[in-house]
Amino acid sequence: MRRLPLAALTLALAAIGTVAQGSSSLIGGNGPEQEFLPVDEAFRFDASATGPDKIVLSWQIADGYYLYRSRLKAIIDESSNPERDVQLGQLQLPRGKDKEDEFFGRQEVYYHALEAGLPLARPAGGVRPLALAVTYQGCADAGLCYPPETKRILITLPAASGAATLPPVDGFRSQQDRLADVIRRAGVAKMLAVFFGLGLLLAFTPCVLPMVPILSGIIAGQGTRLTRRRAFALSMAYVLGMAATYTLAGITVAKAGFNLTATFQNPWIVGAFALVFVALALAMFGVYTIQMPAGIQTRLSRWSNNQTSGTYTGVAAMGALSALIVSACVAPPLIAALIVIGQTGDALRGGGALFAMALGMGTPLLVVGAAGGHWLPKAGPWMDTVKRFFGVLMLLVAVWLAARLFPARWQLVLWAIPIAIAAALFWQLSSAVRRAGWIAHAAAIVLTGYAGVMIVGAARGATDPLRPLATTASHTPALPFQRIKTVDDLERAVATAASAGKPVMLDFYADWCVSCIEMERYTFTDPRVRQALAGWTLLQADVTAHDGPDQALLKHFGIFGPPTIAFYGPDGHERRDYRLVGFVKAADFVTHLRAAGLAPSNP
Amino acid sequence: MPGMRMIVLGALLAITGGLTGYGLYNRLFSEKAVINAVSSPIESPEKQDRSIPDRLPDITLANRDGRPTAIRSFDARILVVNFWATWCAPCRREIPLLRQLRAERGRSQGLEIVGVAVDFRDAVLAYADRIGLDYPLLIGEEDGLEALDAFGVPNAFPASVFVDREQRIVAVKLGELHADEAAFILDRVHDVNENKLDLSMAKQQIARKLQELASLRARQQAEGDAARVGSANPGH
Repeated sequence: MRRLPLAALTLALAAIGTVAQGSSSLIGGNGPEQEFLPVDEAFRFDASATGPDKIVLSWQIADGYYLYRSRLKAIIDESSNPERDVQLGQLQLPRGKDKEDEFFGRQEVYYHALEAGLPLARPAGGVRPLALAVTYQGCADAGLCYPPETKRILITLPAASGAATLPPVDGFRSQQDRLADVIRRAGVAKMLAVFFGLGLLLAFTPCVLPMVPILSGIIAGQGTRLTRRRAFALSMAYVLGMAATYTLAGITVAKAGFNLTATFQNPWIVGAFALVFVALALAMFGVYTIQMPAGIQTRLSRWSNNQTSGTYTGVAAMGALSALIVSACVAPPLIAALIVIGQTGDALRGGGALFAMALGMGTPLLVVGAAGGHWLPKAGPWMDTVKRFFGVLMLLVAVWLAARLFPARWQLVLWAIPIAIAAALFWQLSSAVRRAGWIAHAAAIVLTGYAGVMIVGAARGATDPLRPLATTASHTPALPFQRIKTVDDLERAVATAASAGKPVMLDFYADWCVSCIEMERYTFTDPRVRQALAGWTLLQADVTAHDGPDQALLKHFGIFGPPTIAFYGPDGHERRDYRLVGFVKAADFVTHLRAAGLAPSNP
Repeated sequence: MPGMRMIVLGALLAITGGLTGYGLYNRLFSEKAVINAVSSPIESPEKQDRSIPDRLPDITLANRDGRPTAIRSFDARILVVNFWATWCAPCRREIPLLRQLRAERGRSQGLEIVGVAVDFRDAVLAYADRIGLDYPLLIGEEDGLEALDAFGVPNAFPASVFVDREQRIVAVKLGELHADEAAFILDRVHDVNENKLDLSMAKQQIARKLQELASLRARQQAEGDAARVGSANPGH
């Protein structure tokens, strides 16, 4: 008896409807192979690339047959991947049907048809072949099971203009991956709401707080002509300028594939902005108290007034520029949006998310603006005090911006300057104000003392303005990082570590990266962290230069830049889902290593 | 406030323009826009056509103790060769039925069951121990697949081959064996052994009956599915 013609006949009969159940069209007791479909007819498998970084596996499943979800597997035939530069992600499977099985428990199974997405990570490059081995296993309702079937297929991947990275797997997801997921999958309204909320939260971080004095300074600069409406309108102009910058800059960054944040963290640009803030602060003081040489003072205040009081355009431009500075803390939502814009090319969703986030960040500024216009009296000495206060805040922003440009031992001296000025202002205030003069007096004493302690601390080698006398941190030597520059360096180092069975940590570093410096100063000096990392191969890639090899390295990882830390297991494979972005405290860092299975679960 | 309005309009215009430009750029120049995905199979192993032999093939596989054992060495008036695997739910489900048949017809009709597990040896032994499987077992991995070929049975489980006292194959049931099917087939094989029934007549009767029972079962299952009441498995 020949199998195929009869199988075809069975199918034909099923097709014209004379056989109700395809799976049980029994033809003969002595010819069993006709009772059931051959495995390739029960499960018609096909695969194709739907993009440079995505393959779709599909099965047409005959009526009365099903595939087990738990037994679907796809691996790369490594002979088609000699450079090992293509990695498969997890199969993206739809929800199947639950099937109670008395032996294997509840099993998820697929009837009729199954389409599974298979994302992959790859470097940029031309059309390339990729061989896969896809395994699946299924049964017929009528009580027949096929053994696991493995198909080898050759896929032609289209050219990729950029490197593709893998989406996160279920289970552990880092914060930015979860957010990327929101952008990609959630409804538009939900997505916008989530990012607006995040923006609101971000507004209360040190990233955005500096904007409050900037804006308040601008509004305060309006002086007597300020109405509440005008204050609100100015705030709105500022916030919209900021939001527009985020939206457009985000899209540009993603499209250009380089680190715009890094560019705007360039010491010269940062320095220039710090000087602007100093100038603004001096203008705030200079108009009323500090006697500058008349010429400079007039010029400064005129310039300052041009910036702050004249046009809405100027305010919006100020907002736009502040946004670039403030994105210095590479905030997870910003990275998430950038990842998604870069990966999916979904500029509308990614841009929308960034816009919503910026509006969220701007909301407190709007409130300050509106309330500022309301609270600030039309005229009077009260106004002078407020202006001086803003002047101090602006100096603090200038120091916050500029501190990273100075050696660690100068940090506290820098911080002491605005504090000392504040103290001087309070001294002056205590004599000018009749009622409650003693409060100003006390504040002046406290601030003078604080500034003095900071100078003493600086002499003793302390660096943290909030802990001016704590000097222990600076005595701990830095972690013994091995510097790498190129992707080749990296692969050699990882291979060496893997052959020695050592896990690897790769820290992306740049001089402009505040979080990186914080990690070095606070996290990597912690004994718990040093203990957890004992016996590791520690690599550091300094991408300050952002030259060819640096860019290639960043592309290799599909990231935009520091602060990012990648981990490799002793097997030499990267734990992609456990990348760290941004500053992480010592305790969290150790917990993270444990979660990644790279540190013993009990300390 | 006209100034205010200008700012809002300006910002919106800038954003819209940027997005539109980005979209256009993507559409016109991105390689993602035109994707020629081609997939082709590397190999699709051509399976040979198999046919069921008339007689019990001469195959030898390791038994539980690891000793090579010929399938023809089982001296039985009725031999049921049951191909199974531990990962296969219907295979596990029919094992109690096979044990029951052996208990009922072992002495009276000379029935013996041989389970041929095409699976990893350790997994088979562990499962057999756990459920107290008491009939003879042969275990094969690659050679188990060869045994399937020799029997002309496709690589799918379970399959039960019914052999008479002259080691002629009377019937093959592919898929889970149900009690009513087993009873009918075994009665026919017994009749053949007793010379009460001609072999070809037995084959015809079995074929017709299996078809009848299968369509009945399919109907019951469809009704059962419709009424959402359990599975149609009257033999269990």
